[in-house]
Amino acid sequence: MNSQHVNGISVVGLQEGERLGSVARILLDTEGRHVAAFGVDSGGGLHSTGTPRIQWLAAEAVSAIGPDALTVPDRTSLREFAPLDGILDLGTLLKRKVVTEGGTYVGQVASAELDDRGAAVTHVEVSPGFFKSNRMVPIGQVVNIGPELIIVADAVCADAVCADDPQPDDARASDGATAREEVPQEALVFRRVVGDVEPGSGSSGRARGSR
Amino acid sequence: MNSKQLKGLPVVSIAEGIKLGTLVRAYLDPSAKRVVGFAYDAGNGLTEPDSEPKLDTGDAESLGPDVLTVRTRSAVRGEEVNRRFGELVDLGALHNRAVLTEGGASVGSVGSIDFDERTIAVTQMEVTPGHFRRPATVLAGQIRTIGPDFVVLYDATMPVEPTPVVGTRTDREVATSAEPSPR
Repeated sequence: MNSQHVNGISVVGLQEGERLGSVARILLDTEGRHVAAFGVDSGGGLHSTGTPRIQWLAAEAVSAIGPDALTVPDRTSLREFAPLDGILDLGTLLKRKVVTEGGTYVGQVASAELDDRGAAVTHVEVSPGFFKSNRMVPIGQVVNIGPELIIVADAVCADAVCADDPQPDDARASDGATAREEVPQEALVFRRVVGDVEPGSGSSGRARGSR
Repeated sequence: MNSKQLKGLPVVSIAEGIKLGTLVRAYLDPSAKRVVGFAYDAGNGLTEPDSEPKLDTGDAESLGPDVLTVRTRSAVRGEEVNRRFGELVDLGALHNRAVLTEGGASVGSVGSIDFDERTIAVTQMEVTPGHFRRPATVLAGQIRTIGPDFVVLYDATMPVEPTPVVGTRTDREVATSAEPSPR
């Protein structure tokens, strides 16, 4: 299921038959591969004047995540403090830039795919930009999640068109030199951010110091 | 008997041969799934402190399709309803309450509730899935929780069988319909 589906979904206590709040945040573990906890906004209603009250639900306390609600055994499943191993807020990953190890710009994080229990991240959805289809990157191909960039394996772009690859319908695409001239400005920016790209390496260039 | 038949039902004292009032509310024990008592409009007007006296099911002599009878006016005490008022659920307030499965899937909303006139236990619940879809029936044993915001069903209840189009289901029909009927 998509993280955008989980965000905002109602949290229901099965014992009480009561709506406990709605999912406001999703915390991942340090590696960004497993869901550590969900932040549940208990809300104060229309008359609430303060900041939303967030209580935390450990991922293992979730009974089920369905199309209309996330269910938990009872109200005691909610805690005042988040689990210690949950430090990466999925919300902060959205729109983070994604580049391959080789320095190719892939796009921006659009969302994440979770497994049926909402316990693990299975894919990261990357948006290359307007007029291009989003790409689902398996979590196994995510090399590193950094504070500014997400590094993915080169294989992500092996069979697909990435941001700085020549377009399939471009008559000059076979000319590697011309392809370099066509490199989008944004991709060049992220090459500088990732590290130095070996000159003349084009879209298959590897960043200095990469494996 | 269906919950929608209760409102307006006359309350009659057998000994005095008089009408004490008309039913306005039925109170359900959500954990036992059983009607515990009623409130009736005694017709005393808004200025009377208790214009809706409470009546336990134990105070009633019988509950029929047309009348609820008590032996005498003095038999109406409503002690259990008054004592447990905070934990009971107004049956009328259950109508249109959202119905959800354990797995987090919306089923619809409560249409009405059937209960046995003798045991006053809930036998089944009609669920309205929404526009352009037929109401479905959920047996009492398939209901996990009756809560303030949701009625939660066991996941194993799905799919929910449709309600018969005509006729009233007797207790025997309800008991033998535990197995889903082939379509």
